[in-house]
Amino acid sequence: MSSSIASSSSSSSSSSKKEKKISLKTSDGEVFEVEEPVAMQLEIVRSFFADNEDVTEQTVMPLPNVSTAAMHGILEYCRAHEEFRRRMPEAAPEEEVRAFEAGYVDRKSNEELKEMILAANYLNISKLLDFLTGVAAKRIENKSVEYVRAFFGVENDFTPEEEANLRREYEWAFEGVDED
Amino acid sequence: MDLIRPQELSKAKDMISTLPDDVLIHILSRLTTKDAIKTSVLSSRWKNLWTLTYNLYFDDMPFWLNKNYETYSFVSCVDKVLSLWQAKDIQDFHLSCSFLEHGELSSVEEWICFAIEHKVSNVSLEVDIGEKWGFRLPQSILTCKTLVELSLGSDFFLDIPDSVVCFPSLKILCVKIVYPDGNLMQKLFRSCPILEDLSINGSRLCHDHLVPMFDITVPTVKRLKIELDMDYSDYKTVSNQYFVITAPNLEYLYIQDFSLACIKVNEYPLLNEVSLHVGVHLWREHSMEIHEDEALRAMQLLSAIHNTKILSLTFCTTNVLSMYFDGNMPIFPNLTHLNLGIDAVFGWKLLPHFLSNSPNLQVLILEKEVIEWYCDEVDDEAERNFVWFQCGSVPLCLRFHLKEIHIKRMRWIDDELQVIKYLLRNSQVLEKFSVDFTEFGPNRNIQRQIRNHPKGSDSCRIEFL
Repeated sequence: MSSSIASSSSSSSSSSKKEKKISLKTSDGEVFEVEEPVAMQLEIVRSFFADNEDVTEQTVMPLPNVSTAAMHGILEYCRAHEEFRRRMPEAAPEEEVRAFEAGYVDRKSNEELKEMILAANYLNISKLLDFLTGVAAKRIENKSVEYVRAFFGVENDFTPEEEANLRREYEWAFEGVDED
Repeated sequence: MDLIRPQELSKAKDMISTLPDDVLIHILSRLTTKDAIKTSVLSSRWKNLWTLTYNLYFDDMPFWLNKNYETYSFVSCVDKVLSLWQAKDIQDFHLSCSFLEHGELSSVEEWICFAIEHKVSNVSLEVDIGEKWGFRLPQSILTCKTLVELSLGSDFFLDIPDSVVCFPSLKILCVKIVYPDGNLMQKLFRSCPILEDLSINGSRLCHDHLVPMFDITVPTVKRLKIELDMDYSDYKTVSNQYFVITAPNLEYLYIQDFSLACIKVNEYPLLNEVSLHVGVHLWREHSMEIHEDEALRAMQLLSAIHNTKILSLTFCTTNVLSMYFDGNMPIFPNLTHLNLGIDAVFGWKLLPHFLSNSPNLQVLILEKEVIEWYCDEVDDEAERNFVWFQCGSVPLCLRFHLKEIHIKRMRWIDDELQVIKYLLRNSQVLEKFSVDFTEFGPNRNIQRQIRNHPKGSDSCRIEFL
């Protein structure tokens, strides 16, 4: 499946006339040249170009809250979705999208996932944010408090009494937890 | 003495290393409400975050799986959660309960009212309470302007006034019927002015409760899915079910029906895609006999949807269509994609008719039925009825339009090879021909035969998957 995406995207870029690119600069200084329809999935980029009439094709838009690593992940997702949209403009091929998304997120550690969520939130890509928050929810579903604390990197600032009181208050919610 | 209190230190660390509140609320909203509440003990910052989630998912199953279930009541826990919850609007409200007492049903109505007051857009209810009493939906649901999607997983009561527009924003409706009230259903469907997507699930339809007719008249509906499934012992009763569909704007139709209920589609809608999975698995119920008028219902259904562009028929469907086939196949003027199951009993009986009557066919997928265990009855039947492929003059679609053929679950036997050779020789514009032998392993000899066979189209690519 991924091979067919790769091959058709390369053929489309070679056959079409010179595609418009948008330059995006990440927090660690790397500049990404991104095809316009892909970049426009980033709502922050879309509104930047829509609201500023004096920007030109040479403008490099700085994205100080996005690391290079996160940007690679973001673009992989947005390019795949642009390819789905281009191939089937009316209705996305659901099975293929699911297969792509499953493979896409399988390779990501919890830390990478959180970094991507932060980036998707900042760049305002609602589809990706919905997808990634759903994945994060799946990873903590039915897990113990300790596991979820570690997942989010939270330090417990409750006194033992405070925590015990809260656990008592919602006792029913703490029953029946999966193995970590 | 510490200069910085440990609480402040951890707070600072927390802010740097974790996600902002609005993103956390996003994540918490994707959890069951039970899991979301559990996060209240993570740290002081998390204590009340769960009260801001935009989705509420309640399920009473964990209460019953719990060894201490007697200590808490599901109803009072939900009541408490709703009293603490403080976000503005609800997006999804999901309630699943199977263990409510009769006296607790009024709470369900109150909770749904709560969701409606908070501008809910999706409501999903599975309130399983047995046949004696259904639950009542609050009347305020009729005028709810924000409700877009409604899923009713059990029988319910609702008074729908005549000649009043209800459910002003409802686009997606899913109903599960067990002891359905045909009149209520008809009123419900008719009262939704912009309904686009309707699913009717009768997989637990009760056989001793006969509904003579089920009128589905929804002019706006674009997608319709009907699923009926029965115990085979109930087969005779359910085949008296009548479904009449009047949906002139229908684009997508899916029917799964193992009871051969009478499903009529009026007005020949200009469909885009149809999937039929109807009939009965004969080899599971040897003693069962299907009468001609029952089997012909499947052909009548096929005739009613002949305008479709994409058509999928499972081998179960092909079987029942073949049973009393008299040579009259409808013409499919718009059909471009056909996914046809080839059943084990009647074999290739219908394929020539589909090819001849689908002049614009571009993609053909054939999937052969494989009998999962050895069964004498099917073998005997197949011996009597099996039809080898034969086709008279070359159908128009093979000469001008058919570009792709995909064959699935081949077993490398002679009747299959004969079909493959015919299609390769006569398809004059074929671009891609693929055979999937993942299940039975490759056969080099047959692969060579296929590659070397004369082809009607020079540019055809052959793939063995």
